[in-house]
Amino acid sequence: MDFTPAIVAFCCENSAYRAADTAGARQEGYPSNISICRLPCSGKLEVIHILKAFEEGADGVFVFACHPDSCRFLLGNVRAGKRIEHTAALLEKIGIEKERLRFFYLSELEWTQFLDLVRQGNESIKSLGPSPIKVKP
Amino acid sequence: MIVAEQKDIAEIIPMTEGYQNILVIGCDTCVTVCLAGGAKEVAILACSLRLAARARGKKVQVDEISIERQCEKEFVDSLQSTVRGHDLLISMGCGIGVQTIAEQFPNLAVVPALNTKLLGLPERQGVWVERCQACGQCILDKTGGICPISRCSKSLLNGPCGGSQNGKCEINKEIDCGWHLIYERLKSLGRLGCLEEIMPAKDWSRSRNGGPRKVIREDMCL
Repeated sequence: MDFTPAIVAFCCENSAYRAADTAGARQEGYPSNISICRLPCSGKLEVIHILKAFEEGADGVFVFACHPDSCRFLLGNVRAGKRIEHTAALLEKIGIEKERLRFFYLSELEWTQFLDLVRQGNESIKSLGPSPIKVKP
Repeated sequence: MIVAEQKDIAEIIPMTEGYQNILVIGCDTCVTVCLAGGAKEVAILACSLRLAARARGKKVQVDEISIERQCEKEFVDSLQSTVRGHDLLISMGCGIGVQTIAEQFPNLAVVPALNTKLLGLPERQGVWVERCQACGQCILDKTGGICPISRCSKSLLNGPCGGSQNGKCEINKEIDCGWHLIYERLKSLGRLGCLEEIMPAKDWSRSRNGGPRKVIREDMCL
């Protein structure tokens, strides 16, 4: 089945967002089906943002936070990590595979890793197929 | 404040079976502070229920609202127009909120989304601890402001049992011995003499033993 997943990537503006920007400036393409949502800090991400992304039709959600001990707001990435863990468990109980939610640590310099992660992530979401809430309207 | 925690979503979903128009109602008071049933949690639960229904191939309308206080009829009355058209109300208030809503809307099904746990306070971020069991006869004046009913695992009234060690309770090493805390507190206040007074057996009829309780202020009754 030819399937192009809709993916939302929540990126901290102090790391992954800049990495994505660098990748773009270098004209290194990454899958166009990935919509980047800029966050002032990964700690700003709430459970409801992830759920809403799925409700609005996302097949996968990626969250990029700064590396441990590198958060400009000290614990934003720790908060994000805990919320992702909580949300993944919630998704599983709701009936959405937790593998559709991915969490990565990244620095602003790691633009090649950003490309690798979104390309690999895109393939893994593709292999999962459409989100169950889209399959059964 | 009243401290509650949300039921597992796997327990809530079956409560919604057979209903088409659901209203999730939050409470902006105690359960907002303990992160269990405020507007934020209402949004998460409502969205979760919509997603769960769609994942099972069902179409369900789940709306959301949060009111100032679910434990007072005046505030619950403000829901009159909102509940119209719904066949199930999910209360994210404490047990009192659920029952107030059930009393105000006797023709609608009302179910709880929370488990009401205790009367207590936030100890640190994400942790709430018990401080009162609403026993109906406060003796904090005699115990240095530390409640032996809620802080002592056995609710003893005249000093610790023989099982506490190094200030910790015998039932769990992570629990402080309530009577050790009382002793240290009274010592620092220079009031250890309070402990020489023998407390008589407690009148538990003022607590749950007397059946559902009621407080009446005759001077306030009209």
